Amino acid sequence: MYDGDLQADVQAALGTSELIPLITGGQKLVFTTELEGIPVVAKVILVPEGPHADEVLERARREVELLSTVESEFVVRVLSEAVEIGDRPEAVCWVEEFLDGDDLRNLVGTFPWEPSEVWSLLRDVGAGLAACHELDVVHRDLSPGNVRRRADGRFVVMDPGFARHLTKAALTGVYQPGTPGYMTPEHVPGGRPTPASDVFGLGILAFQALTGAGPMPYRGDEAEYYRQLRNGQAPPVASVRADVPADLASVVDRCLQRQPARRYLDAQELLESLPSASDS
Amino acid sequence: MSVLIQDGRRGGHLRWVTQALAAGLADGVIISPFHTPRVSIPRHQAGATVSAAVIAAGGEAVFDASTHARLLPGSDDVLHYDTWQLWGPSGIGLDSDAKRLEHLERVFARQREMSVPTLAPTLTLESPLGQAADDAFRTAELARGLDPACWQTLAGRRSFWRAGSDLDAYIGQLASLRAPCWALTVVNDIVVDNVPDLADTEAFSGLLRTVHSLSQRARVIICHADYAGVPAVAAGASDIGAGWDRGMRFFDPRSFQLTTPGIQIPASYVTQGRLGAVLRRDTGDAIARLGDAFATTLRGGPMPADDTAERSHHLRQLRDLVNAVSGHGVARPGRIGELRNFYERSMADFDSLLTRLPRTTLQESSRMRWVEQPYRALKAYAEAEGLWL
Ligand SMILES: Nc1ncnc2c1ncn2[C@@H]1O[C@H](COP(=O)(O)OP(=O)(O)OP(=O)(O)O)[C@@H](O)[C@H]1O
Repeated sequence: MYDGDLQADVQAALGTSELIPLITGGQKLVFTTELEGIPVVAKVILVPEGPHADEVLERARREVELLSTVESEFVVRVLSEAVEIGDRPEAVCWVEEFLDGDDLRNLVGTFPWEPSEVWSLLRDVGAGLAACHELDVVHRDLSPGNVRRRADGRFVVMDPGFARHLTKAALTGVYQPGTPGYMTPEHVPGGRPTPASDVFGLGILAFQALTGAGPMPYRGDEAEYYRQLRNGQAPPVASVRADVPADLASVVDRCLQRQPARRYLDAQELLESLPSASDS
Repeated sequence: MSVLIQDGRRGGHLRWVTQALAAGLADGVIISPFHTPRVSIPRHQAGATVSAAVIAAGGEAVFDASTHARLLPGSDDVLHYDTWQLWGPSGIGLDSDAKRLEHLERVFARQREMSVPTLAPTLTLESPLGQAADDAFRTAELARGLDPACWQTLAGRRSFWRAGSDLDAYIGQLASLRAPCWALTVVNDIVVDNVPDLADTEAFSGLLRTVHSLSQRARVIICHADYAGVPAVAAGASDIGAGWDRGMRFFDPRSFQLTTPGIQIPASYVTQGRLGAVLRRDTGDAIARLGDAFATTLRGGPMPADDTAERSHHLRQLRDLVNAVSGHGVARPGRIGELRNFYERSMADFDSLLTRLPRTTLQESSRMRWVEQPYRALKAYAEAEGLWL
C-alpha cells in the first residue's frame, strides 16, 4: 500500500493538471488530465513488493523509453519518461497523448464492417505496427481493447507490448502476453511472439471486423484453445462471408496462416502488399 | 537449376563433374572443405580451382562450409578441412558471439575468394527448442548482419523435422531473416546401405512442410538427398544435392570420419529411372532377361556399360524426374500430382516385378524404401495442406 497521496504525487511528478480517474483497479491506474493545456492520459503501475520489483521497474524504464522513440500517427504517443514514485519505489508512471474516439472493443456491436473500413483498419494498424517493428518492438497483445478508432476515423494502436506487459509481470514476475481469443500460435506457452505474431493479431481483428466473429474463438477451455492455435488453421474469410472482395480476403487469410513463415513476416511487408487507399 | 553434385573423395571428381555439367546432366556443384582442400595437393585440386572450373563449365559453384558436419562428435577426417582455416582464436563451435563472428568472417572470405555465393554455416539440430537452436539462429542472424544477401543453411536430425508446431515457429523465426536461398539437410545418425530411409513419415512430412514455407520466398536446396529429395521438389524446392557415392547421396556422418574404410565404390548398381530406384546390377540383369524393351523403358535408357556410364545415366534419370516435377512451375498441386503419379506407377511396376522375379533378386523392401516411404511422406504433407487432390 502506498502511504502518501498517490494521485497527488503522480500529478506533481508528471507536472500535469488534476488527475481524473478513467480506469482504476488491479495493478494499473489510468487517469485523464492535461499537460500544458493538452489533454493527456497518465498511467500508473503499482510496483509489487518482493523479488519482481526491480524487474518491473527496469522494464518500465526501458520500454517507455523505447516507445517514446516510435514516431507514428498510428501509435499512441508517449510524452514523458517513466517516473518513479515513492522511496521503494512504490509506483512508476508516465504520460501519453489522450486519444479521442472509442476502443475497438466498444465497436464490436457494429461488425460486420464494409470492406473499405477494414482496409483502413489494416492500413492504419499496419502502419502503427510497422513503426514498432522498425524498432524491434513487438506489440504482443493486439486486441480490441488496445486499438482505438479516433473521431477522424483513424485507427491508433495503444499499449504496444508494454503497459499490459508491466501490469501482469508485476503480479506474477512472469509475463504471459495475450488476450484469449486474440492470441497467436506463438503465444502458446513456450512460444515467443515475433513481428509475424502481430501480423496474425491484426488478421484476427480484420477477420472479426469482416465477419462479426473471431477466427479462433476462445471457448473457455484453455488447453483446447492452445491446441487449436498450435495445430489448427483459421478458416478462410470466404468460407464465412462470401461477399468479401477476393484481394481483401486473401490478405486476411495470409495474415492468419498458422505457420509464421507463410504470413507477411512483419507489418511493413503487409503494408507493402495493400492497395493504396484510393484503390480500395 | 535442379541437380547439384555433392563433393566426394574419389580422385577424378573434378573431371567427372565438369563432364557432367558439360553434358547437361547436372547444374552445379556443392564443394565441401572435407573433400576439397584449399590448397592443391596431389590428386586434389584447390577449392578455387574447382569453383573456377565449375563456373567455366557453365555450372553453379557453391561452397558449403559443412560446419554442421564438423561439429558432429567423431568428425575427425580434417586433413583437407584444416587447410581452410575456418576458425578464429576463440576456437571451434558456434556457442559464443566471438566464435560465431570469427567463423562467419572466415567462411564468407573463403567464399568470396572462390567467387561463390556467401552461404552461412550452421550446426546440426536435434530440436527447434533449446540452446543449439538458439545458437543456430544467432549464427544465421549474425550472418545476415554481415551480409544481408547471404544464403543460409539449416541442418537437423529426424527429431528436429518431427517437431511439429515447434518446428514451424522456429522456421518462422528463420524466415524473418529473408535469406534468398536456403540449403537444408537431413542429418542421418547412421547410414547402413545405399537405399533411402524415409520411414519416419512425420519427420519427412515436417521437412516438406518446411520446404513449402521457405520456398514461398526463397530458393530451397535439399542437400545430400538424391532420389529422397524429389518429394521436396514437389513441395517447392528447386534443387537437390546428389551424386553416385554414398557420402554424396546421403548425409553420412562416417564420410567425415577417419575410420571410414576407404571409399565405398558402389561398383554394381543400375538406376531404374521409371522406378525411381537404384538397384543392384544383378537385379538389373534379371530385369533385362524379362524383355529388352521392357527393361529399357524401366531404366530410361540402354544398360550402362560401366560405372562411368552409370553415373551419367543416374544423373540423367534423376534430373529428368526433378525437371518433370518442377516443370509445373510454382503451382504445388501440379508438382505434387506429377510425383504422385510417378510413385503410383512405380509401385505398380514394382508389384509386377516382384511377382516375376525371385525374392533373392528383388525384395519387397526395395519397393518400400525407394517408393512407398517417399510416397507416404508426400501424401502426409499434401493431405495436411489440402493438396492431395
Ligand atoms: N492514450 C489514451 N487515450 C484515451 N484512452 C486511453 C488511452 N490509454 C488507455 N485508454 C483507455 O483506458 C483503457 C485501459 O488502458 P490500457 O489498455 O492501457 O490498460 P490495460 O490495463 O492494459 O487495459 P486492458 O487490460 O483492458 O487492455 C483503454 O482500453 C482505453 O479505453
